Amino acid sequence: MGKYLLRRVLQVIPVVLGTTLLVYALVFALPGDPVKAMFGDKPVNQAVAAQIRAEYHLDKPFIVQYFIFLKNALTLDFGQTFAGQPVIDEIARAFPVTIRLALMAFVFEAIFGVIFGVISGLKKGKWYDTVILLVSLLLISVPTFVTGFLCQYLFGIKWSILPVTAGSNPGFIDLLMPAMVLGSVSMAYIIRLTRAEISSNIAEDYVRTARAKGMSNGQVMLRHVLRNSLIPVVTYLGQDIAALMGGAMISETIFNIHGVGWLTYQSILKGEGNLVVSIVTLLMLIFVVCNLIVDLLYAALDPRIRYA
Amino acid sequence: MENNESKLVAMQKERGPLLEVKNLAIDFTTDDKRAVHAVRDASFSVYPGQWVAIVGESGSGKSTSAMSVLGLLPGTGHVVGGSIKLNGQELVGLKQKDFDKLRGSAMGLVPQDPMSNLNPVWRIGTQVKEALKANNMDVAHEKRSALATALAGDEVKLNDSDDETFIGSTELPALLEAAKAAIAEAGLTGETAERSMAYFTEEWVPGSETRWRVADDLIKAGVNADKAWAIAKSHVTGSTMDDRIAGLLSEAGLPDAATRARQFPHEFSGGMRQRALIAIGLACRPDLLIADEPTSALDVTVQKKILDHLHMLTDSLGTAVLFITHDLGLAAERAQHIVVMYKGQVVESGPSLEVLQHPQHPYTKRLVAAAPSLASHRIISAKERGQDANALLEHRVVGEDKLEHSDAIIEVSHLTREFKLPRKKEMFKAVDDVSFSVKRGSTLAIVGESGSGKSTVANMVLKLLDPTDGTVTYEGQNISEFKGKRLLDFRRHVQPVFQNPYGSLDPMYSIFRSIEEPLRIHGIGDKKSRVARVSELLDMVELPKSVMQRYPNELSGGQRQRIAIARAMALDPDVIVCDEAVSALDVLVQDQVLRLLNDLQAEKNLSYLFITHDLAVVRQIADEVVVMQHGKLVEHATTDEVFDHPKMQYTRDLLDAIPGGKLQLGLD
Repeated sequence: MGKYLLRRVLQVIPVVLGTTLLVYALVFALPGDPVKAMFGDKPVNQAVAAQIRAEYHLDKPFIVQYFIFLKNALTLDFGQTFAGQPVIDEIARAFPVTIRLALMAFVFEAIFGVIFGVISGLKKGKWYDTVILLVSLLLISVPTFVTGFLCQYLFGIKWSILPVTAGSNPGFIDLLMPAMVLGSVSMAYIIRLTRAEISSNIAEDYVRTARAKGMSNGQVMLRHVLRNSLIPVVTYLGQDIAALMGGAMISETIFNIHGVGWLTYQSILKGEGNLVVSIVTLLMLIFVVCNLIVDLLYAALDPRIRYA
Repeated sequence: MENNESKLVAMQKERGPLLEVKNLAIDFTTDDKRAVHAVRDASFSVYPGQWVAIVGESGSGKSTSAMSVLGLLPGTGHVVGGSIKLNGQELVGLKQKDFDKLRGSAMGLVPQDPMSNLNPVWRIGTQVKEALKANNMDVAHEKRSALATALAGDEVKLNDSDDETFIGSTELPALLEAAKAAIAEAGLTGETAERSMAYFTEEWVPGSETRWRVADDLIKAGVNADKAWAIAKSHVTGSTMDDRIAGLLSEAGLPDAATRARQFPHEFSGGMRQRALIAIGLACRPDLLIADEPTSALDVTVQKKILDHLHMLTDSLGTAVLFITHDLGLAAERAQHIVVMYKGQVVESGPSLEVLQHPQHPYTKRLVAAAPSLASHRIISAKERGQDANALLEHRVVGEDKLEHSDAIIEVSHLTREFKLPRKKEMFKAVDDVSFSVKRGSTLAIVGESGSGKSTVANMVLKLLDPTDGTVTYEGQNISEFKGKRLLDFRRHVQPVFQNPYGSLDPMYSIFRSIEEPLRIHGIGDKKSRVARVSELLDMVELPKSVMQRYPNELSGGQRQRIAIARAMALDPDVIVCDEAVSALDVLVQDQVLRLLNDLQAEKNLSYLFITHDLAVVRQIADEVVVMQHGKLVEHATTDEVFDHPKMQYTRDLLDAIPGGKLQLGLD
């Protein structure tokens, strides 16, 4: 177990190096000169421009820039944006918002996904099973921005129940609609996964054995059907946390939430290489950690799986 | 003992049947709302403490009838008529909630497939605990069945219910100490005392043995009665839940039960899982145990051990057993009463020997004729009476005299195969220095339990696996040197038929395509001649030409195995390797397939390498037998020699495990 953990943690190192290099290269290859852009309409002062280039190491070859970034990153110095803000401050402002949004979406999709999935799986073929299936299919096939705009129109404008956009430093009510929109697709997947698991597990031989022991229906459902069905659902949910954080870009743009997705998009537009690479590295670390937790959780939930 | 038996019969008469099924009718509803009659007008009874077997092929309605008693019919099944009475209580129309109260405590289940009947995510002990908890069982005291109490009544004085208190694991060391002191006090020394102590240590299982038993053992060992009861009373004060779970598992024959209870199902072998399921089925001391083919998925030797144990347990607990099986020999050996079901109806029922010796219904006659366990027994008894047994050996076409001068078509010498096991340095020898030869036109059977390496040998003979050491020769040539065209030629002449006819045919291929495929691969004939060949092959295996356009899932298991044989025959092979080719089939179908194989052998001078765990089948088909155990060849002789004069203990164990071996059979 300890050996397995160590191996998994060590695996993170080449992954971090590879992704940062790739992202750095991509940002470097973006067309346009960020320094020229900083002057806007004003004529470019070559001396000032050269000074800025030297300060941000933009005059050095790509690979050198990359190693300078790496060296600084090791001391938690992620550099500054072109506007002079420390990158770390920008990230510290954006991440809590996104974490709040992702957690809300997560809770929403987990609760409603499992509840509707269980109802659907237990009463296969009933009318509400059909309705639940159709709605989940709809949520999967319609793009998030369509669902987002539709919700904005219905809940925000037509009925005025919820705020249309969130703005900076949003609260619980502001994030309610974005979280639901963000979690809706995953919820639909969870409904379908839970439904399939429940309806296949309920026909298992060990469920019949449990009934033959004289256990009540509720106990059988809880201990033998639900317990076994939730194993793949929990693993899906674990991986989804990371996906929700990285995938919030569209929702954050639609609802004007100043989170990680919004920040990434802005910094790509401005060619802020340091910022983009820092955010992506952080997201990737979250992804790797979530994956590790899911794998460990899987072993804890299913005794047939053991890591060595 | 005699006295007990007559008392049991008197008791059964007096109390009337424990389970009484009358004119039971069960329907299943198809997708288009049509009713399919699964059981029609079935009646049978089980008396307290009696074993009753329902015998029939798959689809005869035997399991369906049994499950309706538990109220656990699968899917759309429902009782549409008749009555099921347990202890006089009508079960038809009972709500699931009321069934919950009866299941476990009044009737238990030992299911068919031990691999799928335990939940993989819960510990074995937890799954036993669920049964105890669901029925609010007192884990500190034994619950004797009404029958056991009544039977034991006169001989055993039960002072009060506390005598049924279990030994607890924490108090066991002190109890043994006290017993040791008492024995010393009684003047017993040396070997006698040691023997008594060893006996106590072995027998006094916490959570299983009671205060009464402890006192009784001490008195029998020579301790005076008052002292014995004093020790028993002060040192046996009841077991905990964990003790009781371990006690139940150890009663079911699981060694080291306290540790085993903490393991998960996947850490258990099939036999061990079935023992755990028996412990679960009997945990709440039901009056009736429904055993649905409890050992069909297990090896014969394990099967015998488990059934012996179940028999002993249910006898001592006074539990009646409704035993479902497709093997008439097994049914006759285990049950006092047999009910034969065919196409949803009870066609015959009566005392076991009566049914076996004088079968009335034509279907029962066919079952008696087909059961391999009975057939091999018939041969033995004919020989014992000095009759000519050859008439009974209808399957064996090749005379033994012919064997002597036929040359070997397959020769296996010093064959060894090692496998690397995960996390272990030393290699695992699956096959260890095995040599034998298959003579042209004869059948050689390799017999052994699962894990004995017999299938590994088959795979090496088929050149699907390379040996670590040793050689296999075909027509005098080493097959490991075969490559390219020569290998293709070898593949053409040596064909396999595998165990699982459901798995070895591609479900997306029509039957025609499956049989035609080998012809196409080897480039034999044109399209038209191949169609002719396929219909010729279907003719050979006695299937109508119309099956050509059908798909595997539309055929029965026996039909599919015939297709597999037709496919193997397509290229006119010399050798067919049958890896458990009939093990998955019902006895009647098994019989048909064996006959077919024999006819084909006689007609085409085929050689068979027949891999099986079932010695009964071997008797019917093989000329020579190789017995394997732990990868080694332990015995090699002609079939008659192996059956009449087995040299090794292991072979004798295998022979003893054939169900029905000790039955007296009429030869009508």
